[in-house]
Amino acid sequence: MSKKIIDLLYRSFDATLTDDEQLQLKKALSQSSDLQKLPKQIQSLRQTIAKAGSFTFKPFFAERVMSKINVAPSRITDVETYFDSLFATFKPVAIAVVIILFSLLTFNLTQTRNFTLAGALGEKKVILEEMVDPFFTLTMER
Amino acid sequence: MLIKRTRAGDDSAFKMLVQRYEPRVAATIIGMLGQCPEADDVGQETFIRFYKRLHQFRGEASVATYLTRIAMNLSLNEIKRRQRRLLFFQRQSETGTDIAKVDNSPANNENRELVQRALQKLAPKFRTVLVLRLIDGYSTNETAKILELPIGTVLSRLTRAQQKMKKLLKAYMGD
Repeated sequence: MSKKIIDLLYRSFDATLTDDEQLQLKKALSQSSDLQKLPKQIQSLRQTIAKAGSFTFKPFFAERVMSKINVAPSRITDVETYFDSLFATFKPVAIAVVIILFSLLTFNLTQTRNFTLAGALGEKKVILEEMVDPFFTLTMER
Repeated sequence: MLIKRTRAGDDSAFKMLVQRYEPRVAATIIGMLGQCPEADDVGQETFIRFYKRLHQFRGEASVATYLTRIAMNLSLNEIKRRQRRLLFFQRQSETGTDIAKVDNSPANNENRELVQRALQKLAPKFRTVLVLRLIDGYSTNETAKILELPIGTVLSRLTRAQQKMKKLLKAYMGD
């Protein structure tokens, strides 16, 4: 049995096949006796799964939901109030810190004229003359 | 009507709504998680979320579809939590019994348990389509909308899910 035909057969239970697909399926079904058994098996499988679906929660489910709903709002309000006040307190501080950081970075960039991360952080480019003391070097050479 | 009354502050209307939709929500959640203590908690959480979001509910989808979507998302979260726990503790899943070894009695409850165990063995992406389409009875279009997936994906997942279920239940179905 070809995989494509089997997939088509399964799909025919959930979607409308095109005329061409229906023709292919019909032809394949007429040629294979094994394939002819498959629709019944699929139907039986689907019924078995569907029948397994009648469930309920534990008794007094609605009562438990309602008691939680009646308790939940005050708790939620407390938590929300806590975070709201926390946010309200630290918001100006956070904004000030961001402004200061931005000013510092801009200042460093304009001073060093080095438009890299190092420049923004105010790191100066080190040149050779600064690394080696010329007077000391000449003395050593002598 | 019940929604209107709940919005107006009538809690007894919401209780009636819970009672009305409990079987459908239970079918989705127990289909996804199996019969376990967490299923009840996820069920309660589904209705509590719905209650909190009542002001957002505009009635574009039916109440059942809206609840199913919440239930499905919460069930998937629970599955993820379970997987994390399993990875952390490296222990065997409680639902890890081999389907083929389960007694093949035709009793209805046992059939249900058997299907439940087989469902738990499917990957969540296959379980979701099977639960919505076959257990909840949604159309392929509705299933695609609830899961926010293209119809083609839903159809191919349905095919693969049924093929996997057939293999898992082979001993029971007698092929």
